[in-house]
Amino acid sequence: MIKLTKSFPLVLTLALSVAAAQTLELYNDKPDWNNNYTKVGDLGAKSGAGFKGVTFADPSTYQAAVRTSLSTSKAPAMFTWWSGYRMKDLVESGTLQDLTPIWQKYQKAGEYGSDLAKAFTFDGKIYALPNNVAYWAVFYNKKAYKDAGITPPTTWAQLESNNAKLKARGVTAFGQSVEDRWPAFIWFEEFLTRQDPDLYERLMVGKAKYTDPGVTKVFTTWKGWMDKGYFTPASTGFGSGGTNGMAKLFAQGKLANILAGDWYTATIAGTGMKPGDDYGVFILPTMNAKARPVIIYEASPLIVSKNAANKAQALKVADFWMSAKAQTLWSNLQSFTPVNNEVTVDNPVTKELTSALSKSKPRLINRIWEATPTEIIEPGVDELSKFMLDPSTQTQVQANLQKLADAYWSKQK
Amino acid sequence: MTVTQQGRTPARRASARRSTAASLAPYLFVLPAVFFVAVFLLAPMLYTFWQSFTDADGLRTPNLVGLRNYAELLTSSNFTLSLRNTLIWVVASVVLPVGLAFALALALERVVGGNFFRTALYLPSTLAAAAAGVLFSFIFDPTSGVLNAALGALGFSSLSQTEWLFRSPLNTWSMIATYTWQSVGANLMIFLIGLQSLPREPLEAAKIDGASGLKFPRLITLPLMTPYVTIAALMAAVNGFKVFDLIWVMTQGGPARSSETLAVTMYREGFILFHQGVSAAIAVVISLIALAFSYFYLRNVMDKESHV
Amino acid sequence: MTTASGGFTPPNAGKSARARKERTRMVAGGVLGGIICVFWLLPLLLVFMNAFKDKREYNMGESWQLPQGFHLWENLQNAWGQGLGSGFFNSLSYGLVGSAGAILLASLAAFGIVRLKLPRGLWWFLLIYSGTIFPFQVYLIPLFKAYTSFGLYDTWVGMVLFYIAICIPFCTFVMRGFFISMPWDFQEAARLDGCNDWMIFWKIMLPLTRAPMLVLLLFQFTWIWNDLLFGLVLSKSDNVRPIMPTLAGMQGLYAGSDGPTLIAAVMIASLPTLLLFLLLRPYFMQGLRLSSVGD
Repeated sequence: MIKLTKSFPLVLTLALSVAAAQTLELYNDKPDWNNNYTKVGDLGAKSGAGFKGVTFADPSTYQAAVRTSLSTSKAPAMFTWWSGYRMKDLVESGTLQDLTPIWQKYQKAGEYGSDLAKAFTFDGKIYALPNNVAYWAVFYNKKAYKDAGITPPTTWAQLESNNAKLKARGVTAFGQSVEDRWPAFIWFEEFLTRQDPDLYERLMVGKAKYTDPGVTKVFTTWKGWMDKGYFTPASTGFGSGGTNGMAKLFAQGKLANILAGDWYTATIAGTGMKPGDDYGVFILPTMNAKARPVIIYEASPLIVSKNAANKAQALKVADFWMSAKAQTLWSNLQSFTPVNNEVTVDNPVTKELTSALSKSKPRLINRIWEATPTEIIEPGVDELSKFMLDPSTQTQVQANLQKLADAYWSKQK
Repeated sequence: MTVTQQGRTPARRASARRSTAASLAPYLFVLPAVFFVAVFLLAPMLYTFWQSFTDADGLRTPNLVGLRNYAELLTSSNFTLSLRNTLIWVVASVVLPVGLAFALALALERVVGGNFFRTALYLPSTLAAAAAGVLFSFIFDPTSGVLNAALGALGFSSLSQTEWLFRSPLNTWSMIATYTWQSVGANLMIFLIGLQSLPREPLEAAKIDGASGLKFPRLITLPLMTPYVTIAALMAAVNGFKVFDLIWVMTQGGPARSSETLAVTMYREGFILFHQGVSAAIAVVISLIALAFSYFYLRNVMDKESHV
Repeated sequence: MTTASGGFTPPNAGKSARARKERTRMVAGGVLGGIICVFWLLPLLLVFMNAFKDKREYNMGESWQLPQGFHLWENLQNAWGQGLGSGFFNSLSYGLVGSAGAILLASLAAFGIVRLKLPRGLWWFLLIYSGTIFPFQVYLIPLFKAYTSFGLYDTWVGMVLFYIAICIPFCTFVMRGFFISMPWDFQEAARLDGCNDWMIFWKIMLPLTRAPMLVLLLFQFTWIWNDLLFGLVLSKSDNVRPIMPTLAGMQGLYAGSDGPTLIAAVMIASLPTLLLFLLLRPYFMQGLRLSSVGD
């Protein structure tokens, strides 16, 4: 490629004429979050920590763009990513900036707890700021609940009886989807963590097998719900854009519950439903009524590149991002559950979830997408899709999942 | 490829008196185009070829691994499935759009409003494949789509729950239907040119002899149209190989990779799993197959030129 | 079939039976064609109809129900505001500059190969043409790497240069076919009048190539306008990104655009190529003959 430069004077001259970017850019792959990033950046500009969002339409090209440029001076100053194994890859390449000092400053001030940073910590160093910490809970249609004469369940038994009552009225209890591939893992992790969270943790690190009886039981429960008609067909869309599956059914009252990350509240609001009036939220109960409540969380990191040309500015922005001022704006714009202890959010559904979390103090469990190696879960969601579309493939799907796990873990020894 | 330009056209007497400067002139005309193609297309192609022998992952410095990526392809069930889907695409995109277009071309030749109809049928061809994919995602939607609603209304209630894009191999066929809808127009135009340039005499003779109705096109037109059918078919085959946008927008190759074609598999390996070496190896395989088709296509076109 | 021509009386009753039969065939074919066209365009109409609905009507109702209100304008505005506006003008400039640049360079090359009888012309042609043989995904990763290291990534210039390059092979193919079919005598005459190669190209050949050039403009503009893949990979900011990646970004979970807005966006994104086709239709058949069949 270097040879090309010599025969390439025209291109080089033209390229030089393109002015270097002035404002710091924050890369992300969420088009509908982008304007809000820029709004926070505009607020930061008042204190010399301005930035603007730059969004990529397609998550796969986004990852390629970031990965390829990380080791060069063209590396994005700041960018959003995925925690867990997806982040580990980048940390190991030595291209990420250690952000521990910034965390220490805010933790000392009591604005952040100590748990949160764990998701971004590798070998004792913290390599990211919280972009969003999402809790996975159930959104329910209040009118559908009222019509069926039910209330949000506190036990698994009540959940099952609610499902039956909804079904009797011709309303589907829960949505499930294989659209965009990844939503296939949602119910696998939900059933498993409500049944046996320890088994889930062991499975994630390769100390249990996808063919174990406990995992088989998960598939049996899942299949049971599908047979009883508690789930939408797996072909239902997950989002609100495009073909408009789940959120549309939810708005029409044909679907009573959607289990998703708390960011999904914006998607529901997009159909015209009012948070608090038309829909509410609850945490999926555990199967064993006496067990400690459990909730899946998803920590999405905001990373600073070590090689970025304007790293000094990026560190200033990073400091600003952690402040209560920035987080108040960000959490409210996005209706996110706040991560900074001094922040409150106006959205009634987000408030409801925040108070449910502080009341029940659930055990926090990392989402499967981040908690288990990419090499397993990427092809793994395809296997889970297979099961959802045709539950009779259960044995084969379990065997295939274990094959993927074996292939990965055997290489790690 | 057996034909060259030299010797076909009248020789230019003046060429003997050319100076060195003049003999350099043709190169000056060709060089800019060659430069662009070499830098932006051929160099990346060569780089991909090299990468197919490495373990590149987009993050670390790649190492040479010999033929390992190719060996991996041979043993991968995903690759085999993808190859099968690609073959379905190639065969179907030759048979359906070309066949349908041929039938329509004959049916719409010299009828009232023929021009208007041809324009209407061509309209979908001006759409982007991505846009057509979005449109038909709405139509194929199992719960709120028009297709299932129509099937239900017509009394086919057992079919009205069909998950068009979620069952294999139905999803591939649904996408081929979309593709056919989009590409019939262009093929129709090719056949129209063919029909217009047919020599009149044998047609008139046949009419006088009493050939009519369905027999007429079959007996007379078909043999005369063979070259056009061949070229349309070869072009359709090359394009069928390259289909990507439509699949990416409609199913992303899913569910469970069941509707992937080689182009999609390659994109997935390179841009989602970051197996860039494997991705490059698939690219080389597709290129070789496409090269073979292109060879036959070019030879056909150039053979025709030599008869002008 | 005969019922279709029911009330039809031939203007000239004295014509032979064969002419009447031909007449019947034409009308019957016309009716058949009409039915086919309705079916063909029905999917478009059924989906586009939803762009007239507002969010609530779309979500609460069914997609095949006729719209109750008229919200097309606000949906179009919504779509335009979500980045489609900038994508529209970016793609317009790429389409015009990219196809014009490619057509010019390709014409020069084809002229050199055919009319100036470049030695081993066929091989030079095949070298250029080979750019169109490989599937486009082959170019993605290397191009992306090269673009980032040469500062071409996410620049207007970078996009235009690539679009010129990718359009050259096909244009060369068509222009070569056209130059081959042109007679030689007036080129000889011009040379005897003292014209050099450049003048022959510029003053004599170019004016004659209007038809194939317009059709190439139609084809290549449409190609560039409809390109999704390279737009996705080679650009990121609003003032560089073409229209199709913007449209693709409006679909999906994080896109945050509702159904009617998305459909309105598809309408906006489809309009220019459609108009261009209708505008250049007279040249269309002529150009297609050159490009696909080469005779």
